[in-house]
Amino acid sequence: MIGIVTKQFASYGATATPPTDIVFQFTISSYIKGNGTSSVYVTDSGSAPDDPMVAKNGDALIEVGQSYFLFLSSDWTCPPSPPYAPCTLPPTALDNTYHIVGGFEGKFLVAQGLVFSYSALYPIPDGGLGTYVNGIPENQFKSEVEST
Amino acid sequence: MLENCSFPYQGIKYYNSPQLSSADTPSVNFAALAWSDVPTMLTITQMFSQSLAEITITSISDPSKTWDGLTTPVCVSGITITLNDYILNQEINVNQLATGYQDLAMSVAAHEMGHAFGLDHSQVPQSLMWHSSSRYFSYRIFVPVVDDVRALASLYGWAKDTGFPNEVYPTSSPPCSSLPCYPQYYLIIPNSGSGTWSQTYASSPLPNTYIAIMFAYVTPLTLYRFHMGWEKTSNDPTNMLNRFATLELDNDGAEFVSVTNGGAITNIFTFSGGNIISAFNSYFLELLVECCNELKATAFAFQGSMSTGNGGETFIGSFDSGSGVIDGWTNANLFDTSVWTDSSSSPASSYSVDHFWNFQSGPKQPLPGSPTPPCCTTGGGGAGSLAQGTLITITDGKKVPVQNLKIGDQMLGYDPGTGVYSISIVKATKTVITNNILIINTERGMPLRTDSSPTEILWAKLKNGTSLWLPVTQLTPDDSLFTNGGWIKVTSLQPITTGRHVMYDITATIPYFANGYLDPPKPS
Repeated sequence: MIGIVTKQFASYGATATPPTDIVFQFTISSYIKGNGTSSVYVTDSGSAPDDPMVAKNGDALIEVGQSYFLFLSSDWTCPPSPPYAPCTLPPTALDNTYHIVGGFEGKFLVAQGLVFSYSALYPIPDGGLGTYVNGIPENQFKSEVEST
Repeated sequence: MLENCSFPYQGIKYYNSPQLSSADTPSVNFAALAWSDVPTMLTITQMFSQSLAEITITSISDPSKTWDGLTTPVCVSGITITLNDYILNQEINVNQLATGYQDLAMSVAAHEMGHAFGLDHSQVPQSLMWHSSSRYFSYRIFVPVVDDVRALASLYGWAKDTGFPNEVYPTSSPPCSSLPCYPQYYLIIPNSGSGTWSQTYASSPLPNTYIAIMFAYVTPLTLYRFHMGWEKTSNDPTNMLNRFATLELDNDGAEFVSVTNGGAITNIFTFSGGNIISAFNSYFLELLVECCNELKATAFAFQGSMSTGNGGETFIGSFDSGSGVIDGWTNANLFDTSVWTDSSSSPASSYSVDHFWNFQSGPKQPLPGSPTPPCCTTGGGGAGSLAQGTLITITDGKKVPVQNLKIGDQMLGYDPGTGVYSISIVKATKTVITNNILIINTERGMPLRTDSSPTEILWAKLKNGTSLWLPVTQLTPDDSLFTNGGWIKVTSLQPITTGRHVMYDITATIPYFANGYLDPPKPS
């Protein structure tokens, strides 16, 4: 889907400071595949984009006010506990809350009609992770996604 | 293999938090055992109190995260390793494995421990420190292998095989009843062409007309596969100069993939015909190699009932064609190798191995000639300033471990009096050892480890807004430290009053950034 982040809605999960598990509220511009409501919650985890460690870890959070092309999933099925750890779930209604598929690899910033992958925005030293998109036209990106 | 930094001592302790899931606990413990078992001077011990451990291990199950394991930070006390059970399960499901969760969890736990010890990602896909879980799904790697061991040894030093050369080889058949067990047999490779199964010779020296290089793939619970390869072109050991083979296993079994400076490979044996696979607690036994007019072959050993009907798979041993001295892993760092595994299914179930072990009997002893780890070189005492591994920001924005700084290096400098960034030049470095440190945790960024001394100062801002060079012993939570990204609040202060800590004093032209925090240009 393509959407604009309207606000940072809640934090949850580990008690990191600052919190690294954030629920953002999105206004959806369009769904490329699948469908849903016009306003959804999306979880993201990581660090603030200006964190000096981001470039190393590639885990910059999405930002309020920006437009994104996201690959989302709403599969919140957890393995049983025990033996596995209890599931950490966002506080929002799960049927309208999504997580980003592939995390870092499923986030694409849309700016001035161009699409940028996070691997381009925040290069990871190891490299080779995810699709590298560095400023291709939004429509071209959209049609490539539609054709896959 | 790259490495970032290391602990300034060789005994690292870990603690399994109450949040570590029961699904992950055995994997974590086995991962620690595997790391401790490699021939470096590093030992890893489980503690039952978090305050006594450098590494805390925990589990979550979080669908919104994409990582299966995370280590943060590295190379300092207070490391947390987190395993994400949700992703681990997903990976098992995606790869359509009916079993294997614990193997994968072990691969991830051992990988993260490697980071905690100071290892960066490897460039070798068939290594534990490869960044992707393909190391497991493609190569079934869940323990440190040679690339990993070499990197760890570069940080902590090689250990000598203390028990092996003078062991008396018992004549009884395996399994032995108590550890340590000793090699039961040599594996003899007759020089009679391909297609001949090996023979076992209990308690007898290898005939000097034979070469044996052995390695196996063993588990405490199950031996699934035993592969071997060798090459020999002559009975004359002088014809065995510098031959080295890299071997690889895939679904098709074992094969040599390269030989350097040697002649033809005459035989390759794969003992199992396939469809034999890893399972939890599997362990690679690796050995090498020939060099320098001598065969340097050694093996980790196992015990158990391991007959498969394919031949003599009940043994492992070692042989040196030259001096007769078996020095095992002594020369392992001279060679490169690969890992043997396969990704077939339907594990055999008739084997039983009680425990894996190697020849590191008793306390580890440093290998003569091996780089000595930092704890043993510096000596002395007195006050220092920055702990080993502290990252110094240099002029291009990259970060360099403090121990790698050299006189004349150019660091990112900052004058708090003028607010101007410029270049700070290293004028002198000094290494000292202290018995206590202070870990300063902040709301963002890496913790800073300094002397717990009133003479150690940092550019700080008090709650009332006053900025000053403040002794670290006077810092309190909610004071802020200056970074090149602005002020960051201190969240906690953790004094460590035990251990030996390698610290580095840096003398520079103007203040510089250590782990991102502004440090004074002169040591305390």
